[in-house]
Amino acid sequence: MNLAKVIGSLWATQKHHSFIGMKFCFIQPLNEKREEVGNPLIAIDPDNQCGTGETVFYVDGGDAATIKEGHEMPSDATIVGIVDSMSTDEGS
Amino acid sequence: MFLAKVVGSVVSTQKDPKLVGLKLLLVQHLNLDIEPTKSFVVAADSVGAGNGEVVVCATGSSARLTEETEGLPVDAVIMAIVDSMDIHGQIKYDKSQEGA
Repeated sequence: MNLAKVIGSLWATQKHHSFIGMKFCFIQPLNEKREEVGNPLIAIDPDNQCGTGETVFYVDGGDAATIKEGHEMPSDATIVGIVDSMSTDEGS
Repeated sequence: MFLAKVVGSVVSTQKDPKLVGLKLLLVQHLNLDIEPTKSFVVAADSVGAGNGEVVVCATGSSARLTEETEGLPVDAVIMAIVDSMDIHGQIKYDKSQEGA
């Protein structure tokens, strides 16, 4: 799983049926110091809980397709949690 | 997933037999300002996208999880057509305003 910051959202009425009721977010991957790394990407927010500015963690690749039992979706990046707080040896 | 624009279709007679009947489109990567970048991808279509539309593409093994691409040698699929998007609260694209 990777850390990222939600930077925007995207609306689509015409989408694969497995995404109905789910939101698309633009996310910017972060490193452990919460600095931006790499390019922004689009991720699925399956529970519609994320807002712009929040720090989240997401799974990518084939693992992003089956985060709900028995529900497969053509997603290669899925948000699985919102970060409340985090700390490293260097501090919070 | 990445943001892309449909810029053309791909026609192929000699191809893997499993790909017969599959709609293949040429898509160009877009940045967050909806500006085209230099990279292109051939993607299968699962939502009926057309030329000029801004779409969302999934890559890797996840691309094989639509009815159209299940079990096929495909690693990029168009799975949504963008209506509108915002970045940091600023609307960057709105399909209903395009061409107006």
